[in-house]
Amino acid sequence: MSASASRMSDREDPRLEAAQKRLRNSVDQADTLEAIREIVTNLLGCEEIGLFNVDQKSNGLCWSFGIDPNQHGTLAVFEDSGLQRVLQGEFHVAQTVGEVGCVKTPLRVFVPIRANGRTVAVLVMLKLLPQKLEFDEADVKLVHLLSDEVGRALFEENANGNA
Amino acid sequence: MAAKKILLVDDSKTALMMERAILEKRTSYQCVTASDGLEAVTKANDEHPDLILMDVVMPRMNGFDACKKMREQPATREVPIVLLTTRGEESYMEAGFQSGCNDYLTKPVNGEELVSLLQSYLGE
Repeated sequence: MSASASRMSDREDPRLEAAQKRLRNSVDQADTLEAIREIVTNLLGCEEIGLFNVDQKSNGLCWSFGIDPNQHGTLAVFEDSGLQRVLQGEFHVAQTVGEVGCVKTPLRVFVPIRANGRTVAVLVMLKLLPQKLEFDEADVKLVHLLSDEVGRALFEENANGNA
Repeated sequence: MAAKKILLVDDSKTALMMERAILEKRTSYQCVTASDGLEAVTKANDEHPDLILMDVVMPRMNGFDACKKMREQPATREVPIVLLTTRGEESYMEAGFQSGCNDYLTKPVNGEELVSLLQSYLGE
């Protein structure tokens, strides 16, 4: 597929269009976090979400939905999940063998949140819904959009506010 | 012939935007929206939609209760209602059908599946 054709199909993807519009129209930090929850729940199929700051100290949980903050206080609990690659800016899907046959079911998704050319936070989708059996190309595009737009909305200069 | 009208009900702005975008790109249906069950019951009476696509978990009035209310009102008693939710468990779906819905879809929405289901009620 040519680059222009790819861009055209991106523009025509209702999920990408809705997610981008929702994030760009968010009015403050709380609304941006609500937009993240809506996008991850409704468009990606996950109701257990954590947003972790990336810093020199604790890499601590700064916002969450549907998880126990006491059990997921820091990114350190995910050390065996390809975290280093995520911190370098790659998104990562940790897979496990599903219950039905040998279908691989996504278990956890790690999304680097990028601002000013570096990873400033990591969005972790801890457990995808049972009916969400695959993480396809369209999901990957949506994850890339989250990586850029959430960083812009929460962490860049003139953003809605630091998470 | 007038375009078929769909009432989209969800407390998530993102879900409403996406559903509207799918339907506007792939069908000629007209969309109106409501952001919770209570508003949906009123709008369903006022707007006379041909079909209602409604989330379940919402503030003020959830989708199950809104569905029951709509089935009590003469204006909406026969209108097809499709419930849409993240919960795919059989017991949850059964509760949906007991509230009076015609169909049940789970999130995340597959655009083709959604359009195909709506067309089965409304035609193209």
